[in-house]
Amino acid sequence: MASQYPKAPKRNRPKNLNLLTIRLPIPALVSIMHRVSGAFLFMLLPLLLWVLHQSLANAEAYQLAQAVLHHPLAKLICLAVTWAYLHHACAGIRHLALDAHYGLRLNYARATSRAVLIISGLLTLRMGIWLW
Amino acid sequence: MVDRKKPAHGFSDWAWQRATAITMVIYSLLLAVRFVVDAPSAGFEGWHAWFTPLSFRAMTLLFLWALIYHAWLGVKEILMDYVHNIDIRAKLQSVFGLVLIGDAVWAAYILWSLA
Repeated sequence: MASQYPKAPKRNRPKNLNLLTIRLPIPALVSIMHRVSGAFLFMLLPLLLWVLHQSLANAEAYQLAQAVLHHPLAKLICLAVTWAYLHHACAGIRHLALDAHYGLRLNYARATSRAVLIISGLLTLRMGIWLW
Repeated sequence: MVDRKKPAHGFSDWAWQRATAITMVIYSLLLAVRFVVDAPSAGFEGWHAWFTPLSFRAMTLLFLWALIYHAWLGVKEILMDYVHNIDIRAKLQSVFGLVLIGDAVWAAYILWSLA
C-alpha cells in the first residue's frame, strides 16, 4: 500500500562542506575544540607520565627531566598541554551546566562559549608567564 | 553501527564521564591551592618530599585513574563517530584500551614505588 502521506517535495538545499569556508558558530567552535583538546591530552598522556616518573624516581632522573623541560620546544608542548587541559575543563564545566539545563538559550550559549575561550586563554597566559 | 545484542552502556558511560570529570576538577583546584599555600621546595628532595604523604599520593592516583577512565570513554565516543567499519573500530578500541591500561598500571607504579 502506498503511503497515505504526500511525498515531501524534493528540495535542492545548498551544501557547503568546505572546511575552509565554513564559519562555525562559536558554541560549535568550543565543541570541536573540546574534542580536539581531549584527543590531544590522551595522546600526550604517556609523555606526561614519563616526566612524572623521571621527576620522582631519583636525583639524576629528576635532573634529566628538568633539562628536558627547559628546552624551548618542551616548554611549548607544556603550554599546549596546559591550554588543552584548561580549555577541556572549562568547556566541560559548561557542559555540566547545560546538562542541568542552565544556559540553554542561544544568547547564553554564545556568551558562555565566549567565556570558555577567554577564561581558558587567560589562565593559559598566566601559566605561560609562570613557565617562562 | 551498534551491536544491539550486547548490553549498551549509554547511561553509565554518560554518568561515569561526569563523575570522573568532577573528580578531576576537584583535584585540580586542590592541587592549585596546595601549590600556593605549600609550594614544594626546590630540587629533587623537596619535590620527592612533596609526594610522600599517603593522602596526596592516593588523591593523585585517584585523579590519574579518573583521567584515564574519562579518556577511555572519550576515545570510544570519537571512534564511534569517525570509524564506521566495525572490525577496524574494534581493533582500534583494543589498541587504545591496552594503551590506557598500561597508563593506569604505570601511574600506580610511579606513585607507589616512592614509598
